Amino acid sequence: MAIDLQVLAPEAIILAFVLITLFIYALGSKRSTTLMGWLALAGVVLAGAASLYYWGDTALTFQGMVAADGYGLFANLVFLLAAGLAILMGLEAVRRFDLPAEVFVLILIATLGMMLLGSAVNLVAVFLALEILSIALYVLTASERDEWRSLEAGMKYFILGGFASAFLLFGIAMIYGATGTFSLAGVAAQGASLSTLREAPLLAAGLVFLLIGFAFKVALVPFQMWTPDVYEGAPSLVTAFMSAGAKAAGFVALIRILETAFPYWRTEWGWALAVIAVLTMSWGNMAALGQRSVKRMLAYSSIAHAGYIVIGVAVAARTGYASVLFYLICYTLMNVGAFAVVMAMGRKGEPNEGLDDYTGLIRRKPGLALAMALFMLALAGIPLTAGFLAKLYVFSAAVVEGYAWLAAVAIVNAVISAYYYLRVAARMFFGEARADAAPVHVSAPLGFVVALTALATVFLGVYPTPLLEFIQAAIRPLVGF
Amino acid sequence: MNQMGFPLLTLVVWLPLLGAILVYAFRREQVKAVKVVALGFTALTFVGTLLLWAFFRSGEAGYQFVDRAAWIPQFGVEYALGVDGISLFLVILAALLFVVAVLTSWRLLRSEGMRGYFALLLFMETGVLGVFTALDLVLFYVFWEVMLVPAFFLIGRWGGAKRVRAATKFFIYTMAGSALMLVAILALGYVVYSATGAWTFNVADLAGLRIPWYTQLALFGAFALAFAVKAPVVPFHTWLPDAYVEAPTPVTILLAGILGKMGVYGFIRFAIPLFRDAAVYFGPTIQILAVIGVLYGSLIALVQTDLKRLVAYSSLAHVSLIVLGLFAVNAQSMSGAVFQSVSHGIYIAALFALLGALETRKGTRDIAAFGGVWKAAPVMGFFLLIAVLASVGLPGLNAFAGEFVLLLGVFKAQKALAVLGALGMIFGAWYMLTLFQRVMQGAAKPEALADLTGLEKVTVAPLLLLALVFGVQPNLLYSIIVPAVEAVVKAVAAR
Repeated sequence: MAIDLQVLAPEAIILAFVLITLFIYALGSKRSTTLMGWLALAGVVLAGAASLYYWGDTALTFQGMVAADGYGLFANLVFLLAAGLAILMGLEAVRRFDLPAEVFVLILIATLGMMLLGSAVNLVAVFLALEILSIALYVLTASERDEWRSLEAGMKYFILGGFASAFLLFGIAMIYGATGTFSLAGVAAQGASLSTLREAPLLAAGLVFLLIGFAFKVALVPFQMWTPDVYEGAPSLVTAFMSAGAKAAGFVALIRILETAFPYWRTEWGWALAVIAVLTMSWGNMAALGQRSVKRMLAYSSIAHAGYIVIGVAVAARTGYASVLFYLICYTLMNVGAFAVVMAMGRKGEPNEGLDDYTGLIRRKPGLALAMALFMLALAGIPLTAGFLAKLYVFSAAVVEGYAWLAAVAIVNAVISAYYYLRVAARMFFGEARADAAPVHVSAPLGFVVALTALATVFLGVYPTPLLEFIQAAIRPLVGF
Repeated sequence: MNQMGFPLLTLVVWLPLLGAILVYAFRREQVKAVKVVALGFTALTFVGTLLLWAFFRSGEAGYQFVDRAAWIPQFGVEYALGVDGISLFLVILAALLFVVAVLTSWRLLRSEGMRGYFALLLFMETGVLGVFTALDLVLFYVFWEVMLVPAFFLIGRWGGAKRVRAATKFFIYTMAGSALMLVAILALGYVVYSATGAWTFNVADLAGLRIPWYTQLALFGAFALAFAVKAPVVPFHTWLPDAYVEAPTPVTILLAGILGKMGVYGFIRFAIPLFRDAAVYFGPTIQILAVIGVLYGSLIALVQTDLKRLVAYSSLAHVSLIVLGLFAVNAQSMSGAVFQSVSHGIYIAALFALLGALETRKGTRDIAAFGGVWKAAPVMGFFLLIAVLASVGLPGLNAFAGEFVLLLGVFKAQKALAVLGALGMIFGAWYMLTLFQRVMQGAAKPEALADLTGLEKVTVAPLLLLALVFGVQPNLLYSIIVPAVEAVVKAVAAR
């Protein structure tokens, strides 16, 4: 079987730009850092264009290990959006926080991993893609090399991420033991003949380990312990990239695996994930309530949002998966926007992440304060923002599939979350800034990220129809009904 | 298309938002221009709502001026606006009170951040008008929730000493109350979907739907909770005193005059007609809570020493009486309730505007600090007298025309509840007249208070005039309200 590179054109483009930026890095001087950033951005844009160009094609390649289909191509767009925004933030971060130029290369490598993960239809390919993604992220997390907490975060992430990979690999091995194949379609064919849980303990155990591995990667309770420290310690652009892109990649792959390889156990994994969803969103929100640091609060909030997203997976139906994709796009926009504001507040050696640092921001930087308030309201799920429609879509999928109770739990959680999101808004708008508050500087790329995400958050909240149509078309090849 | 051949209602709803954006066309220092823009847009919106009245085909029960368009077809969510006899006067009242709010803001506030203030106020007006006109449940929920945002910032930034706490409490309480309503709306949509195979949240399509009993109970519960928090109904009222007292006067006027009516409106527009069996089943329970609200609010009002707090609790008692009337579910009690919603909005706005004037002059809200104000400020005294008399239900003024019909309707159904509700009116006379006496009469305090300014007179006088007109000619309203209410009553009776 020939390897049809054309099918993987978006991935190939990213790989090419990884090599180009690396080459410049090897040859170039300090001044080439900005050039690397812009080239990385160009690669992301080209890969996005390629994803759109090949839209509608469905093909398998690499001996049937990787699929190019609407679902994978759409997922590419989510990852590339997160990567593009992170690179723009990086253009500022290399100057402000003295980050090394490698961040651009690493973001591209991680994006490559995400894209492969979204397209993998073979468990070995899943594992390889996940490792490409994870190892790049470990290094990215520790990339603020003279900042103690960044290094600590990188170390923690590396060790716990290693655990997760081990679980995943173990699960894959058991699945192979039970079915004799790595191919998702093959597992489905074998598994369906095993029919019930009792007859297939090995396969079931494999699925459980696989789920645990993914739960680690996307930070679901009870495998979320690493998240707050890692998200707080990593440079803001990396946190934004991880919480949006890497999480999206995990969910996209999880849906593909569960739906392709384990459709006969929908009820079982559906209920397991429903329970995990309740735990994840409740734990994330409860823990976020007491946070004094905005960045750490956002870390916990990202756990809570993972909980809402799991609902869409748990309902195990087409509307649910479509709602997950929509949620991922919306979450990427509002969350990256919020982290961009966090980054704008910081300076070298002074993160300025406390709630107190935001006090009276409306009088110091009205635009930034307004954008942050918008992101907070969107994350809380207030209407006319993308966050509301994202929740509405997930909840309606839950109601339709008989999980109305799950939607009810989730919306009670959303109310709890409103409290800590509003607190940030209240600080910014109702408080008087300290006289010695550090000046806040917003550079052009960072301002662009904030403005773009803010506008998109409102736009999607008001006029989501084109995107929804796009998603519903993307989901069609995955779920055949 | 509607009877105008022109999307008048859409224009009325979105005009304030346009104003909110235009406010930013001016520089920060051009405070006067910003105020004029805000006044212009609220006034224009008010004129628009009067046009609705002028072209309204009275005697018809259905929705008029309906504007429909697809919004999110994937979810079956529509952009659908319309008014009927129930909502028409609430829309007009809302538009009127926003004009009053802009006028009371004129001198009350410091000049800093005025663009933001008026932009938020105008944004809120679009939200409020949207709530009263939305015919699609999801759209209704969108307006319902969005309206909280400007209210939060208005209270939190321009309110009194404990403003941040009050703003947060207001936001979280209302959001918590209405959270489950969203799930209920989706579930209702699904009930229709499983019956017809098409997604719709349009009220007209949902009317007459047969919903299984237990589903009805759950859905009614979720809707009723949202509206009970908003109105508020005891025991969901604890946000009310904080928010009413801490908010700046113009926002208090809006909170008491129109925002609470959103809860009342929700009951009569959605909760009762959609879940008819559950509404009848739960009706007596809610009525008992309402009677408790009437008596509790009145008794607490009796012992208040703070001007705004006293009137805030009186407002709780009055709104509870409205809820009592709604759930008697007959044409009289419900028409009276709708009428009284409008008339309460009128005199409570006048009361809070006058209390605001007193507070700015004296720098305190403590009743004991006032006395003999009439001598120094006779116009203010006269205006307050009319507002107080309207609020105690003096025949010839609007509250009487509402409460009398309302109680008559309740009396036909449940005599004991009507008697207890009427007791609230007696208490009302007691605490309101005491308030008037202690502030306006008795020995004058040494420093004389200035009388109402021309602007304040212009602000309050039309409200008092309306109280008189509607008191003498209640049929102006009833002729339009009754047909719409009768349709609801008929639907409930035919369940």
